[in-house]
This record gives sequence, C-alpha cells and structure tokens, in this order.
Amino acid sequence: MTLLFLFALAALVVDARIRTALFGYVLFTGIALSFSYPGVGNIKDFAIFVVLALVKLVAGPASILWLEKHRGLRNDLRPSFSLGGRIAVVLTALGLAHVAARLPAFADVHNVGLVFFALTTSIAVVIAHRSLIANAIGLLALGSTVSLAAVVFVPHVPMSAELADTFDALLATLVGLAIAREIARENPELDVRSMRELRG
Amino acid sequence: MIPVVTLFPLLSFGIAAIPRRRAWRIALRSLFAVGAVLATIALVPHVDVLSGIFACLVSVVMALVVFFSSGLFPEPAKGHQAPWSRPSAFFLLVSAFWSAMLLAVTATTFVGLWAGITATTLATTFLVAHLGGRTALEAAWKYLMLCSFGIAIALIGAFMLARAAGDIGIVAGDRFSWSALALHGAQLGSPLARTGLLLMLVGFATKAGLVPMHAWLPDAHAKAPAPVSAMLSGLLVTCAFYALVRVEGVASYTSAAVLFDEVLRGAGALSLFLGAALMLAQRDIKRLLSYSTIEHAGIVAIALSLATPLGYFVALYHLLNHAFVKSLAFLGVGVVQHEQGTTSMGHLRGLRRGSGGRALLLAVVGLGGLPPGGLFISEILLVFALVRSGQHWLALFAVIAMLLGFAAFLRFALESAAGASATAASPAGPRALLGFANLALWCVGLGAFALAFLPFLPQAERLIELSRSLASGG
Repeated sequence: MTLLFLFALAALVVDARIRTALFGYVLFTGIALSFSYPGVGNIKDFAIFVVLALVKLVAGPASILWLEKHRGLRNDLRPSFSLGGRIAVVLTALGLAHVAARLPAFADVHNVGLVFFALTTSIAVVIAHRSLIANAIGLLALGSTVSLAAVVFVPHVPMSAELADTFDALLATLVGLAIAREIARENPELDVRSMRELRG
Repeated sequence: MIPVVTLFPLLSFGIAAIPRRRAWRIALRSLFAVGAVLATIALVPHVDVLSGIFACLVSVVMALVVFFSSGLFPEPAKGHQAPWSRPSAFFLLVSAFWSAMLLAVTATTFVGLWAGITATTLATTFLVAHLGGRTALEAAWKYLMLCSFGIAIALIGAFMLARAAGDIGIVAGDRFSWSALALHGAQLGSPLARTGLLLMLVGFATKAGLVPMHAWLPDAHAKAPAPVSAMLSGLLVTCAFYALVRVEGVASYTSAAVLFDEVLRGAGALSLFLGAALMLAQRDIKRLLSYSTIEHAGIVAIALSLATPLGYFVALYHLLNHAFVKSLAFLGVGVVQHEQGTTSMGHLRGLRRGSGGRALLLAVVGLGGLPPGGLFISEILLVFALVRSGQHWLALFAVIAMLLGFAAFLRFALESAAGASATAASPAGPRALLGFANLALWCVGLGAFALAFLPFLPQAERLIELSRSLASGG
C-alpha cells in the first residue's frame, strides 16, 4: 500500500501528461480516503464519506478533463525540468519527508512521513510543471493531503471538518479552472512563462 | 444569533439581486447594507471584545464600499464578458466576502477561523479578475494559488496543535478552541505544538501579505477594481491579522512564544523595509498603495511580536486606522481613475481639485504617517514600544523604513496635487450615483480621521483593557 502511495504521488511530478497525473491523483486520493474510512462510525459519517469520495475522485478530475476537452488543450503539463530533473525533485521530496518524519516533534505520530511526502509532492507538482493545469492538480492533491493530515494527526477529527476541506479544495479548483478558461483565450497553452508581466 | 448575522449579507444581497429595475436593486442593497451593520452591532454582546471590534470594523467599511460601488460601479474592460463581471454577480461576491469575514472574526475555533479565511479567498478571486484583461486574470490566478496553499498549511498546523492538545488531555471538543488551548498553554510545550504554531503563522502570514509570502499582494491589489482593492487592503489583510492575533494569543502561553515572536518580528521587519523601499520604485498609484499595505503589515507584525500591552494596543489601533485610511485611498483612486482614465503616477495631475483626488491626498497624508492621522499616533507608539522593549536597533530601522514610505508618498503628492490632468476625462456616470459614491468616500474619510482621537476618548479604555488582557491571557 505504501509503495502504491509513493508511486501515485511520484507520477504526479514525473509524468508530463495531464491524464497520467490525474490517474496518480485519483490513486493517491483513493489510498488517502482508505485511511479515513475506519473513522466512519455511523450512517451520517458514511454518507459524508461517500460525498467526500465522489467529490475528490470524480468531480475534481472531471472538471479538469472537461477544461482540457473544452479548450482543446494538449495532453501536456509542460514540464519545467527534464525527466531526470523531475525524478530528482521526487527523490528530494522523499528525502525531505524522511527527515521530517524522524524529527522529535513527530516521534509519536504514525504515518507522518506519508503526509510530508504528499505535502512536498503537492507543492512539487506546481514547481515541476509550467501549465496552469498542473497548478490545479497540485491544488487538488493538496486538498487530499490536508484530509490525510487530519486523519493522521487528529484521528477522531469530525467528518464535517474533512467535508469542509474537501469542498474548499473542489471550489478552489473550480474557481481556478473558470479563471484558467478565460486566461486560455489569450494564452492557449496555459503556460506560466507568459505570466511574467506581473512583478509580484 | 451568530450564524444569522454571518449569513445576513449573503442572503440579503441575494434578495436584492431579484428586482428588474436597477434603482430598486440599489435601494434594497443599500437598505440591507445598513441592516447588516445594525445586525453586527447587535451581535457585539454575544461575542468577545476582539471579535466585536473586528466584526463592527468589517461591517462598517463593507457597507461604505457597497455604497461606493453602487455609485461608481467598476466597469469591466471592453470585450470581457465573464459571468462574474456582471453587476449582480459582483455584489453577490462582495456579500459572500462580507459573510466570510464575519464568519472568520466570530469563530471561536481555529477550524472555524480557517473556514472563514479560506472562504474569503474563494469569494474574492473572481472580484480580483472582475475587470478582465490578461494581467487581472493572471493576478487572480496567482492570488488563488498562493493563498490556497498558504491557508492549507495553516490548517495542517492547526491539526498538529490539536494532536498536541490531545496528548496533554484536552477533551476532543476543545482541541481547536483557542480559549482552551491558551488555558493549557503552559503544558503545550511539545515540539509538535511548536511546529503546529509555526505552520499556522506561515499560513496566515501568507494571507496577511507578510514578506516573503507576499508575492500575490501587489498584483491582486493593483489589478482589482478600486472598491475591491479597498476591501482587500483594508479588510482582508486585517482579518488575516486577526487570525495571527488569535494564534499569537495561544503561542504566548507556550514555550514556543519566544521563537514564534522572533519569526513574526523578522517577517514584520522584512515587510516594513522591503515594502517601504519598493514603494519608491513604483510608477502606478495602485501598486504604490499595495506596497504600502506590505509596509503597514510589517508595522502591525512587529507590534504584535512584542507581546506587551503597548505592543498589542499599537497592533490593534494601527489595524483599525489602516483599514479606514487604505480604503479611503483606494476609493479615492477609483474616483480619480474614473475622472482621468489612468492610475499612472506620471499622468495624474490636479488631484487637489476633484473630490476623489482630495480624498486620495488626504489618505496619503494619513498613510505617510503625518498628523492628524491615527497612523501617526500608532507609528510613534510603535517606536516608543520598541525602545521600551530594548529593541533600539529595530526602532531605528523602523524609523528609517517609515521615512522611506513617507518619501514615496511625498513625491507622489508633490507630482500629482497641482497642474491640469494630462488625460481626457472618461464619460461620467449618472450624477446622483456619483454623489452617492462621494458621500461614501467622505464617510470613510471621516472614520479614518475620527479614529485619530480614539486614544483620547474614554471608549479607548476598552481597547487598552483588551490589549492588557491579550497580554495577560484574558
């Protein structure tokens, strides 16, 4: 299970195709959801869990696929680095997660390494690719990371908190995709390189 | 009571969008805006003093911004026809932002606070993109991404803190409550609690625009329409600082207090200096005001990090003043942009003649830290508080940075106050509605400068008392 988890997150960063990254996201989210399932104690929690699963596994990826089809985007996340560079990014994320998990602060927290790897790869997706679609996938992955963190750090966190986080991630992705749709009128490749005009 | 008041702006503005006639919509919206202010005032006895002050601030400034926008609606760029740029959608998003801020400042737990702050991002992204055009859309994208990532990190920090709270025996229902966490603060000394508090600091500081997490702020504030910039700069940053006050309130009881305050002070000093230095390089008035927001965020962060009654007082008083003065400045820019068709500092002239220009100049006097503005008092008090805390070098550093900020505003005022406008005036809207916008503008101005007298009024005791209780854990 852990290997599958690592593979799914690595695919988000290493592969430059939108659909493969989405597959990696769905696999990662499915495993993350399996962590929260044991917390489902009654019918209300089960209903919330089903909604969570549908939103995370179906609505988020479907909205990205819709934009890809609607705007006729190429199945390409426009990588910032070569394949070797992206693999190095994943290995660095893995190393950082390994170090963080061994910090005294997290000595008693089971599975904390998985949370840190998910967090670093969610951020790495945004760094390793130049497409705004990669940003959106990173945002979705971050939403699942937060849910995973909730289960790992606060095992009895109310399902309503997870639901709020899930809808936040979905809404942020939908808002982002609506903006991306407008950006695509002038920047059809949705490449962040053409966003340098803003100086920050 | 609290959920009703929190949802009131969103629900009532939804009703106000129903009538077909524009005049009816404006009348209903204005009525509901006043109603929301009254409802917020009625809420005060049901929440703690800090929440009461911030809720009233949010509602008063939001109501004035709604009046202003009804009078001078920011028209999107030609050819931009996104659904969110329609007037009805604009005001619905404004009301959603209003409700989200009320949710944030009336929450009693970190999860509630997170929900409110994250909802503000979702509500305002479309508002930043309202005008359309490439740069506005890209600024909205950058804002959404950076703030979403930042706020997610804050939530993970809250989970870590809750875990640490569980480890010391705090019951499950109280693990996100700041009152309960502060009460057991002395036991919350584990590295996990410290890490959680620092992650929350990083997350909320991103939303507050503190350096180095500030990259979204100048673009979002400069590319948004003027009333939205006023809301973002005047209120959104203020709400993010409200969150930081709550986190600091817990951190100050734990063994993480020193580290937490040092990180906050470092980010504050960087923001103050970089914000002020970059103000000198700006040639667009909205970008100048945006960097000024970073400078003032730095001042508040430094004051807060002192964790003394005077420090808390300066932070709260500066936030109140800044909310009004910065809103006045951006609304003034809105009128000036409407009259002169530009925000380029090289082209703005004759500001002392029009009402918007005068409002902008008045705000610039306040933001530059000159009397009679309230920011003058809080900046002097900050230097005094720093000297009293033994931070002499930081006091000197702060004075230099404030002088840089003042120089940037002085240059702008000298260039733009006199002369005749170089650009043709854009077509004016209905006169009655413009008068409506001007009235709102002057109300904000009145609020901004009335606050300067607050420390000398008996009511100030409440704020000072609150600062004392924050410093001593009340």
